[in-house]
Amino acid sequence: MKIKKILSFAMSLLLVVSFGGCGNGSGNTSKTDSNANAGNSSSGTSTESNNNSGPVELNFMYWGGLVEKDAVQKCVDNYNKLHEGKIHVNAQHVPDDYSNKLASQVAAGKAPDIAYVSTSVAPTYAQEGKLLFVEDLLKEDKSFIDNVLPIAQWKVNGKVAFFSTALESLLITYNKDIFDEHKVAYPPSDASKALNWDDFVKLCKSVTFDSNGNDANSPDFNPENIATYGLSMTTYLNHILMLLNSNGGSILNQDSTNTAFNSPEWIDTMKKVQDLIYVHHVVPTPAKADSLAAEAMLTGQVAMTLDGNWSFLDYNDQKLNVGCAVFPDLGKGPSTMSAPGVTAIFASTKHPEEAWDFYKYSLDAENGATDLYKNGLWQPIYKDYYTNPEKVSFWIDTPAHPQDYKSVVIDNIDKNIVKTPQEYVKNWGDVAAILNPAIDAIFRNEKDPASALNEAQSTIESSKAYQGRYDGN
Amino acid sequence: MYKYYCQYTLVFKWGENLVKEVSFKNKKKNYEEKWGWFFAAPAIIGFLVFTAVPMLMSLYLSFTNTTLGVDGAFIGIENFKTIFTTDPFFKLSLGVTFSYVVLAVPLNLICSFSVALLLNTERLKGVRFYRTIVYLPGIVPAVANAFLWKWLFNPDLGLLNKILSFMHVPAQQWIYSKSSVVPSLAFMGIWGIGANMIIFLAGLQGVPRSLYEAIEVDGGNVFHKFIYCTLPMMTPTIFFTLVMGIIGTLQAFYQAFVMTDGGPNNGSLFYAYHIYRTAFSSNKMGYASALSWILFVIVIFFTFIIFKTSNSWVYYPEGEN
Repeated sequence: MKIKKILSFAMSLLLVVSFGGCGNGSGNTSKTDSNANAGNSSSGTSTESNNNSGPVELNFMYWGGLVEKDAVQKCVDNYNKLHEGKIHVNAQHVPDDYSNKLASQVAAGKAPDIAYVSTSVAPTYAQEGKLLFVEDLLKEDKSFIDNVLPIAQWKVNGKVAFFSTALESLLITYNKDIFDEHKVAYPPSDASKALNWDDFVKLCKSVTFDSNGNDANSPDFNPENIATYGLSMTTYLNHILMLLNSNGGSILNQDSTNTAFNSPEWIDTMKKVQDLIYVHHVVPTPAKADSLAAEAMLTGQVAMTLDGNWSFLDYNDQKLNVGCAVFPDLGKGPSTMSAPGVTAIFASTKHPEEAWDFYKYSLDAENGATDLYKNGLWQPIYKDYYTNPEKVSFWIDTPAHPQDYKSVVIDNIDKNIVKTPQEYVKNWGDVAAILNPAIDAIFRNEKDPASALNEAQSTIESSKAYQGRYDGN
Repeated sequence: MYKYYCQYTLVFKWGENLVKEVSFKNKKKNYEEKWGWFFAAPAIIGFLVFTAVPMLMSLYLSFTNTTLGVDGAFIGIENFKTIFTTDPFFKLSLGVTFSYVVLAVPLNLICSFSVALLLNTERLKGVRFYRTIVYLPGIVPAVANAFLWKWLFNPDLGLLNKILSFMHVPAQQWIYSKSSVVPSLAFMGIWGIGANMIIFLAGLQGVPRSLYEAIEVDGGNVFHKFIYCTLPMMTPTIFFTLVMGIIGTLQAFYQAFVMTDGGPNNGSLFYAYHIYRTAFSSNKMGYASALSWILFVIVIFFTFIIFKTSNSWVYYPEGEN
């Protein structure tokens, strides 16, 4: 009897699981749909109320941690106070599953008026006509765009579609105490004095130490037992792209007809990176990196990090004696890069002028979200915050920003810029899905750079993953 | 998720049986039938709204080029054509998934069966305690479990390599190398044998004592008991756990999601993770739906094959079937 019971239980479970199985995988899309209905009713009511004589209601959706939430809410409150009776902005903070929520609202035709948009979908939205192009909204403001840094302007089909929410410069950070203790000179913050590759490797070696205190230049150095790594570098593509750009390479070939992963510049750059790990022993292997503490700079496990502006918030909390430096120069000068998110105005808005007004306001560092600029998390996108000394000191003369910050970031903001590939490469998700494993294999020393990159390139060609550019260049 | 599905379908089945039995036996047929449907309604409605309709929707989506937030056009079988011709990850992820199934399912069955055999005795002192201990890891949430094992697998600090070095075995890369990532994840699966162990235990307790006594009378030893009595009597249970195991491992996802990101070098790119990435990194909902339906067909196919072969190896005692 028991066996029969078990069996019947088994059969019914089986039935369920075979349904459940597909429900898990393929039900995703429909889940988005039911979200859409939920989003529908909530945002629907607020737009309808606009027809009444009250102030114009704008819906603004954004993501971010608690620090960001407070600062952005402050910015919105300030704006609402300034425009009382005329414009009222409802800010909605969505901490999780942001892109899906936004997508379902867009699909239902009930998109917010203004919203943060993930860089992976923003250009597609613009192309599909879901967004208002900033360039069309300028009208009398034509000169306004001159004050927006080129690095913060996103072009789709040759026209400026939207701006970055804020900038995040990529740079090298280092623990000054380690350099002081071993009397090693700091890496340069002046772009014109950037180290060439060999000198950079030498510097990394002189701050890499084994457990006996020998640095990596010493003949007694034991690479099996490293206590301090000279440099922390992950497979984060943007850092690699900065080295690549300085080495004369790029994602695409010259006429943008194909990706250029098998180019000599790519192979040479990746070879240099691989050597940092397995020949010079100054960068931890991926497995080793996983076992380093999140605060590896603070604990002295790492002397320098290929890093980004956002880290200053944490370093300031940790009271780390941090300095910053420019990237090494592999021939074409050190590169500048920003890894931003974007804010966009949706085409479905009934109040494009008011939306544009709030848009301009919210992107200005002095209007409320100031904390985010002062604590080191964000950089402004307006030019005068880099040129007007008063405005510069307004956001960088804070405990979070190291002394070298001005010469590393402010003085280089418009020089030798590398754009993030999301900004101009169509179908980037698929291209990256092929490129990333190749980079991963190189970092793990499972393949030599030439064969890994050649393989990636031929996969991209056979799968037709590369589908051209957004920006019409 | 699983438990939820299981529960409501069991209720659904129960409701259905109730309706059948009632309608044949009872004179107040209409009255009872009405109530039968009434009680079954939550399950039926739940099934339709949360499973059947979304499934049909995704079937439709699989024939469109829908992306996140942008309505797609109907493109016929174009998605399926791409999957079978140019998709660089389709065959790769299927290969990874199958190798995981081949390693993880037998490993899990053998381990859980062995442990169940060991614990199927009342003579052992504190046997209930041991049963609880073996079952305990099954209660740990999958993600917490994955994080725990990520540390155990760490080549530098991990406990596993510490044990190996103690035994003078060279350190392994575990999930940090393409060749060892799938075996490592299968090995990790042993941690969760508790659920199957319980099922096997239930099966073992159902083996009639008289059969063992008969073997004893004939002069058979423990080995004979196992081969001629335990194993045949357990085939229905093995059959069930096998089918469930294969379905579960074909849908392996969280290990790749939490521990490896599908790496190193796509070494753990499970099919379900490929679907997830297509849907939520590349935003291709239509294409991901097409991938999901292919997985559905694969699952159905394997289940069907096992059912077909079951006649030749699953034993049902006469009179009970």
